Amino acid sequence: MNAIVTYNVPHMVEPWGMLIVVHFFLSGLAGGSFITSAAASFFNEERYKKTAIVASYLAFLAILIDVPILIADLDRPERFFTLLFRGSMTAPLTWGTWFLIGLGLFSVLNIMLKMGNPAVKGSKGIILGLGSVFALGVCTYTAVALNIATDVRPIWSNGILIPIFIAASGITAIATTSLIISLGGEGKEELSCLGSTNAGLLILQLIMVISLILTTLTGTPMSRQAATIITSGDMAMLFWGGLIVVGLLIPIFLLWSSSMAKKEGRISPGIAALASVLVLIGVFALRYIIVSGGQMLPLT
Amino acid sequence: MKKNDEYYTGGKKGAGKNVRWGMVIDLRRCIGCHSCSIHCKTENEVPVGVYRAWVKYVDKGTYPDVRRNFLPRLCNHCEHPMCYRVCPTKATYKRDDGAVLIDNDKCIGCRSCITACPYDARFINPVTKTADKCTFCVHRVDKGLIPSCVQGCIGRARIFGDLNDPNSEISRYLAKNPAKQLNPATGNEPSVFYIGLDESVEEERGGVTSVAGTQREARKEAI
Repeated sequence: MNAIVTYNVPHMVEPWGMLIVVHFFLSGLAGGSFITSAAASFFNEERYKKTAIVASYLAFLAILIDVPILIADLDRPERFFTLLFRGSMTAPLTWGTWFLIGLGLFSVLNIMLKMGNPAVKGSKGIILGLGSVFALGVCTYTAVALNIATDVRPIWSNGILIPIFIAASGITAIATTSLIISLGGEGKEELSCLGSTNAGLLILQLIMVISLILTTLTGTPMSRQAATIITSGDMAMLFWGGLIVVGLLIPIFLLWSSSMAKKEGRISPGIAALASVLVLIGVFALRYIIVSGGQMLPLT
Repeated sequence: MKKNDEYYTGGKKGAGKNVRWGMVIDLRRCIGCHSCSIHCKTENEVPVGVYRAWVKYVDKGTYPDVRRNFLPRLCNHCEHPMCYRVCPTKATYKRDDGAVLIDNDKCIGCRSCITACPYDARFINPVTKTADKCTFCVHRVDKGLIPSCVQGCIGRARIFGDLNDPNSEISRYLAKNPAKQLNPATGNEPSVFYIGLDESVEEERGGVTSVAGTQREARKEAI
């Protein structure tokens, strides 16, 4: 039977807007960069020196920009400090606050470590290990904040969002680190390693994004509606063009083909830089599609 | 005021008296007059463009077999409110009598509760810049009065009372009539019940129409 809503008062169609998208992107960059720096230091600090140093600074810089953006998004930003002493343990934003503070602190310690500061020299394992826990927390809490929201937002409540956000953080960090190193014109060996790692993560991300869309498309009528907004609705152009083609397929092709074709599996700085820029566009598109597209289905 | 006055709750206050406030909305009696919205607005000084109580219209059928359905909406004051769990500063709290409220002095306006509420009951008040929603008129209820929307309902479609008291009007009404909650699958367990609810009316979404447009537009105007 035909039914049409002729009057309604939807409140906020999109309670979380562009500042939250930027926050998610930057917190992913911060968390992913710390883990990238820690991994490079653990595996072979001499061989991956540039990666370890660049990523350590990236983590700190990203936090430095990220936290004011998160505060600016509040409707009462002057009250942000109450998060520190009123925190409710059931709220993802409380965990996020502590993860961001912890990651900020460990990012500074990591930079001191990379500068060879004698005060922290003996604590490398603790700094990188504990810092990585906070970094993983920062990468994850954003997905949990969406995940815990409610079942009536089917894109947000899908469990695969957590690994998608973790992978997106790693991809962002590796692409940015790779871009900075490639701009220097040196470090082909490191670029090659970063490129093939990112290619693997991008393939994994492609599989997870397809799974997210398929599981929502085959769900309840409400779930199908939410998925359709992304696949053939308002978000379709950004999803197919920005995320799938520009952000995933082209970089996967560039990174794989160049590492297979070149001798010694080395990627040229130009290709690495191009792939990194495309990957960053793709990750931003992904964050926007999830945050904004996930809210587009009216609740009432 | 007499105890048998239809506008009197019996003077029960929440704390320590094992009271659980609830509301029944009998859709067979609702005529979609928006009297509840207006009473709520005037009682609680709700700013222009935002609503603590509103009525959704859904037209069903094909001419000449068409019927307009009304769905009065408000905060459901859930037994397990998700908005309470996600509030990072404990600004959202639940009283012993079941009323879910917001402490304006603690809210930081992070909008976590707005994203968590499956019923779209919450909004940012453009004046206070904090989360806002229906309070079950606890300022009236604590003095023994019924909520403003209930008092103003000209069809007597709304019944408010103590769900824990088997002799209360609401409990007797619920015992006699089959009632439904909105979207029970969310597990929030609303304290607002509907009689005569057509699920397709609830499920039909969108159709953005309001006097002052969306809240975002209203906020822009306020700025």
